[in-house]
Amino acid sequence: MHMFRPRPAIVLLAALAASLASSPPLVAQVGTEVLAQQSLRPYWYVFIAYALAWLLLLGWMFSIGRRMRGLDGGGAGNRDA
Amino acid sequence: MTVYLRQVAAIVRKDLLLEVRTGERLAAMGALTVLVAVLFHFAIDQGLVRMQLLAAGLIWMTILFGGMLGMGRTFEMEREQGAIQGLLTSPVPLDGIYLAKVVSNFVLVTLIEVVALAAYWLFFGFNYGNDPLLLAGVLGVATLGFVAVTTLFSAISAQTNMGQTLLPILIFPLLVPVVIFGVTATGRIFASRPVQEVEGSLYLLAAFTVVALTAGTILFRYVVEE
Amino acid sequence: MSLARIRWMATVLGVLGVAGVLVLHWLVFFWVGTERTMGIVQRIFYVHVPSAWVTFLAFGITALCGAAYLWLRDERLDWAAQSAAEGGLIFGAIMLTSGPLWAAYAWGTPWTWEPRLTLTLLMWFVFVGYFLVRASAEDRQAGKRMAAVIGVLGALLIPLVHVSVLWFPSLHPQPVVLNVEEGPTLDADMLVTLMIGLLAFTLIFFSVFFLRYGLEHLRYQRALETRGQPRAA
Repeated sequence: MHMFRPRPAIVLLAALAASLASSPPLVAQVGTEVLAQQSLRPYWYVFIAYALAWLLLLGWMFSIGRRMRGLDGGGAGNRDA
Repeated sequence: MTVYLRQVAAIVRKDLLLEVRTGERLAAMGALTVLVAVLFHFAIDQGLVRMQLLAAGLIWMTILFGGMLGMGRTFEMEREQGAIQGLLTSPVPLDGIYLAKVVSNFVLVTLIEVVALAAYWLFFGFNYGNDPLLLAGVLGVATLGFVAVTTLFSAISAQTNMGQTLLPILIFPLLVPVVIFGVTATGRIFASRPVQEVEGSLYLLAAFTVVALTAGTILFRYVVEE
Repeated sequence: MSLARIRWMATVLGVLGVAGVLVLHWLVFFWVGTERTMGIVQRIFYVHVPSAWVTFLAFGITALCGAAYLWLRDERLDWAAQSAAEGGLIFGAIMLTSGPLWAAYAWGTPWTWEPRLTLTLLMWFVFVGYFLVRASAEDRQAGKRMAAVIGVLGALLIPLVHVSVLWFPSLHPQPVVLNVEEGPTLDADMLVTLMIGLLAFTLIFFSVFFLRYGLEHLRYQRALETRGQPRAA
């Protein structure tokens, strides 16, 4: 029942991870720019904004999946108990 | 039409009579209104801020909270005593019941507005400007819109197990126009500004009130139908 | 629609949406030019605006389906309204988190009482009320109707709220931190990125919308089964 099954959400998560992981070149550019410390801040804001967006979306998908599994795994049985 | 109006009037009369006899809601609303004014006295450092500048905002917040407290119970008294079934199955159309409740709530909220104005005058010596008629008009229109929204939602919250806790969450987002234009208009009246500066807000308050009242009249039947 | 068909729709839209999102990420992080005045942080734009668009779309669907439900009393309309409202809540949360992050850097303050900000915040709270009423209704059918009423009333009053907050600054002159009305006109590459973002977010929304709709469908089937065969287990 609780075995791992590939789901669209996991595919999306992998895509997000890949996309975030491929971003460091962007961050690396900053070193070559004039400012070192300060100019990293906007990058953080962007990453946090995108990460929060995908976390919220994935959370929604997982919650739907969980509710669905609750029904699949014996809605009738649960209701009897 | 006349039958309809007579039915509505009968419910209003019954509600107001009940209110006069028991005085429950009115007492609670009036007490809250005065107590909020007292709390504002301690909450705001009057050495830093001139209270008169905040007058319109304070009075509207007081009216909103006081009004909500009383109106949240619009349908609860009847639910507790089972009278709501009789009312809903009576020959009065459902929108008539809604309008009757709006009228009786309007009377109640108007009364606590008088209490609020008196309390703030007494405690803080507020100056309410030199156009009492315009003030009454603005308060009347804004109050009707406020009551139209809140009466509908009190019928909703009465049918949930969260009851009155839910009411402010449901109505506050929709009451923003009343607060903005109510405060703007009354603030300018308090400052004795010319009528032209109040008109715009008054028209928008009227538009809100018309939309809220129409929507409430149409949607109420879906809230209470069995 | 059968459950299989709903799931098929969700999958197809989901695959297209994920593809769109991948393209969007590539465009946002590697392709699109950096905005001159705001710099890197402006890239939040490409997640913020699409989520705002989806939030409005979702709210519109909720109101329309809610009104139609009150009229026709088809349970499927209620499922759709509920699914869209949940989407509106999620995408609204994305909008309301990405916006202040952007503003905190670009304007120096996370929040201003700019009309659109105020409007979307209030709209989000209407969504919250929608679900609180559904969850706490003593009678399930009444809960559905009351939620539909909230959706419709929200759609009616939100334009008015919008007009009010739009007028608010002109009524009460106050120091304006930054004039948002006169945003920079978009360059072509930014416009393309934004369009891809809008498309990807809309696809993702409808994909999860169908997933959510399928959940209600499944719930309904289970309810029928338990009613039909009381002691099936």
